[in-house]
Amino acid sequence: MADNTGTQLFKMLDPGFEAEFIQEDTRTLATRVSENAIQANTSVRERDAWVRVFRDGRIGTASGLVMSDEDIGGLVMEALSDWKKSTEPSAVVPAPDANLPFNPVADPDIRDEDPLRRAERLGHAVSIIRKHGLEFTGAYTTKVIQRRLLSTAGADFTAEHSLADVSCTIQGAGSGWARVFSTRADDVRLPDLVRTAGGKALNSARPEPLKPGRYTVILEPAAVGSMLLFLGFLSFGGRSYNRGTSFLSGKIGEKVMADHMTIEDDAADTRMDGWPFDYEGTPVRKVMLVEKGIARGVVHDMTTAENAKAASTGHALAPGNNFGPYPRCVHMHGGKTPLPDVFASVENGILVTRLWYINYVNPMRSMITGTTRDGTFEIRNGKPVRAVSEMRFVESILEAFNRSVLLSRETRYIRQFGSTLRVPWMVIPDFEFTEVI
Amino acid sequence: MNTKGHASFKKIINTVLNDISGPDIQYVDIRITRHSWESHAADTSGSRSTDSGSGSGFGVRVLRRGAWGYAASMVIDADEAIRAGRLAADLALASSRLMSRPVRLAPVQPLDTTWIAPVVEDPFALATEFKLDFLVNSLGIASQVRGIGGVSGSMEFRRLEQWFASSEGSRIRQEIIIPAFAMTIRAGDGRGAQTRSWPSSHGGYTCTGGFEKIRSMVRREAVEQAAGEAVMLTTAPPCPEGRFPVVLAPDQMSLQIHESIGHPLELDRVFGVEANFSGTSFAQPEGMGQLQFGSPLINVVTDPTESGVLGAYGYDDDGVPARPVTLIRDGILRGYLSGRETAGRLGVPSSANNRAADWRHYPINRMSNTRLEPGNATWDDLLAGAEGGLIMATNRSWSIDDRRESFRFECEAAWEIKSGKRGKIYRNPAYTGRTLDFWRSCDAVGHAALYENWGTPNCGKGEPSQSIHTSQGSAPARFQNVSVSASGQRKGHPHGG
Repeated sequence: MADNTGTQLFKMLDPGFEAEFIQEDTRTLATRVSENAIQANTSVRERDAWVRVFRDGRIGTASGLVMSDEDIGGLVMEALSDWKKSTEPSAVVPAPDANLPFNPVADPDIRDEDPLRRAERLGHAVSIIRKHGLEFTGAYTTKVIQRRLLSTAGADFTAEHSLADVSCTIQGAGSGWARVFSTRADDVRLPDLVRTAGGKALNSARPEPLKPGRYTVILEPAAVGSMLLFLGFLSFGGRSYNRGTSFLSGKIGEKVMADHMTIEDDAADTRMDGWPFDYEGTPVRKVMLVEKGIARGVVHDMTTAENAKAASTGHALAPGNNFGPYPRCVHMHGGKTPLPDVFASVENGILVTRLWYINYVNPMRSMITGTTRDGTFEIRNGKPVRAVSEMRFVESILEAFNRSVLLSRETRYIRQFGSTLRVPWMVIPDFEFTEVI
Repeated sequence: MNTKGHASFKKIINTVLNDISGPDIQYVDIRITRHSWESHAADTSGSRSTDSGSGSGFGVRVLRRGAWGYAASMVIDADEAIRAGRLAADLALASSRLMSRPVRLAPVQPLDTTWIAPVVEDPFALATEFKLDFLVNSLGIASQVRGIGGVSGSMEFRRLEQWFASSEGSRIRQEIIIPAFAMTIRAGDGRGAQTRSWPSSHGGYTCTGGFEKIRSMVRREAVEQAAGEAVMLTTAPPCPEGRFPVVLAPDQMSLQIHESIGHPLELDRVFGVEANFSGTSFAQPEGMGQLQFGSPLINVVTDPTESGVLGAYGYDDDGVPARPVTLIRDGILRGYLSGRETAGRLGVPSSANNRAADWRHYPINRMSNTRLEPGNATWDDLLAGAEGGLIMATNRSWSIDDRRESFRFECEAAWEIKSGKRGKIYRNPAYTGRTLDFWRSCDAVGHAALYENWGTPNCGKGEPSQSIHTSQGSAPARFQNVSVSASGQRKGHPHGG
């Protein structure tokens, strides 16, 4: 982006208007693997821009591609046209200058990765599992994203970060899955990944059905992360809080979860792909959502903050979204129990690798349904002893989390639906499976 | 937008196709897409909003040494297109370093043509105030029904234009407009609140065409009926549990077909390409001509040529002309949803189902318009064979396993079937089943006059994930011995272990 972009933009405005300009450049390199071969390598270059104009308490917004002064002019005209049509007051104001809480840095090993080198690394990973008669299907995606925000009120923020996300399903007679996410290339160790998934594939051949009913489960982090994500959709944003549909609504300072539940949003965690400022130019804050079972807060953008008589926490999504503020870097704190002891604590139970096709059954109770997938094992005396057929579950997330009896000390970073979560393994008694699938 | 229209696109296309060549380049294509959209939302508390936007970009796909590379950009000019084309060739070379079998494309006759979905009344030419007033007036019909707590609604219009060109000589331009209308009618409050979506859920009514489609669809008596049902649901008993005959309304049939016939018959999925994300399929090619997918009443085609439906198009993103292709005939599996690559692997002609969500993505096997052919039953016939059973309508939630062998669907409303008539209404109905057992249990399909087609505006698949529009058509149909429950209840299942 040219350094004079803001000057060009702001010159076009009539007196009395204020404005904000946001631009985001994304470069994606995605490799899809199927049947131990690269199915396709794809590269996508995106540039999204938003212009907001402000006057008399109303705003106008426009979005599009900006490559030239002509494009900026077009967006400004669109935003002014939108402003003229707007009838409702807005709580959003142009961002002032501020100190940002951290400064993410893109990993050059992600930015400059050679697709030929990636193909070699994948080839090595495939060679590890192929000798066992297994097949690798998966996706290896890296992104480098740069975001800049300028405003007539003095903000001029730039940040850039990178992410690498690899997931693989290894299949033979059975199926196993593993996934790694990080902001650094070094954390992506493909041999470890395929050995984890491959081991599950080998051990999950010839699964046997269990009778539907309630079982003690050990949920691996991907499964915990899926449930936490769906709880977050319902409850961690200011919009649902203000509407009264969040389990946190009106209960700040009160006991809402079990004592061992601590959940926060922490964009500054360098293993998360958090931004130091949001799409309204507000520096992001660490937000404690639930602390030792006590409701502490939700995340806000300027609109939900005004309605809640609170301050924005820097969690606004892109202009035009219909979702409201959302925490994208959620950390459920682990417990004190080392992972081996977590397993040892379960005499009879089921180990769940991941959950699939979750959908709400009763959102007011955070009740969901879904199935297990790619690595479900019966546990006897603390050890996975045999593969079991995949099953459908129906559970209230909140009730299941509150029934949990152990959280592992170890945590993992999980990427799902554009959010990053850091979560532990979890032991939940009486987890309800309704049918074998 | 920094694009100048058709002439500049032709120049870019020719530049790329001339630039990317060589002895190891087997195939190149380029897709340029642009879209514009506007959305209108309102509710009965007085809120009104309008939003609009546009976007464009292109992607170059190269098949080199038997492997794919794809590069896309939103900067549409010749220099960027050459950069992307060369990058796609490099990416294909990298793909070829880890290859199991070279891609073999099913043949296609190159075409130089244009396809435009018919539109009578261009929604983009209508005044914003007119459209907002139309929406608000529609909401007003529902809000006047006694007991309604609130009504919200939306209208959206999308114009999609695409230019496709291939190194084999195809030059295809397509254009569609997608109108959408949805309304959510709420009655009651707190945990007793109930909603009816009208004319259906998950995006409401979506199709191809102009504003005339919305205008003809919104009927006062239908809106009032839906609002009345929302009120009745607040005091309705929970759906009874057990095994019953069930008649599914066409809007629920749409999702049932989409999830349990369409997805398992996507050929890339059958070959395992989606094993890491969307999943695989029970319907393997050995079953072609053998697998008893459903009862003899089940006849299913993929047909993008059905006019005015959301899944309509003239050509897929391989440049293959749309045509009706039989998937299931007399209950037996007969075909798949394929593209040139997967069809080539199976040794059959492509069914013209290779589609990309937009310029950011390369095409994968997707549904277009999947249709259960009508049968002979009248409504009275359907109900007569379901005494003591239930009618279910309008999907609320669903979940299905990764091999598409079993499913769970929840609907907004159910009605008892008593003495051959629709009786009292039940809330929170849900049903589960196993795909093949379920379709084999179908013992009646409604006749053509009962046929409806419903759009699915956001079907997700692929890595990176792509969201695309499809449609499914069906008359109401009857199934026997379906496992039914009331959703949202935590039951007293015994401990399993």
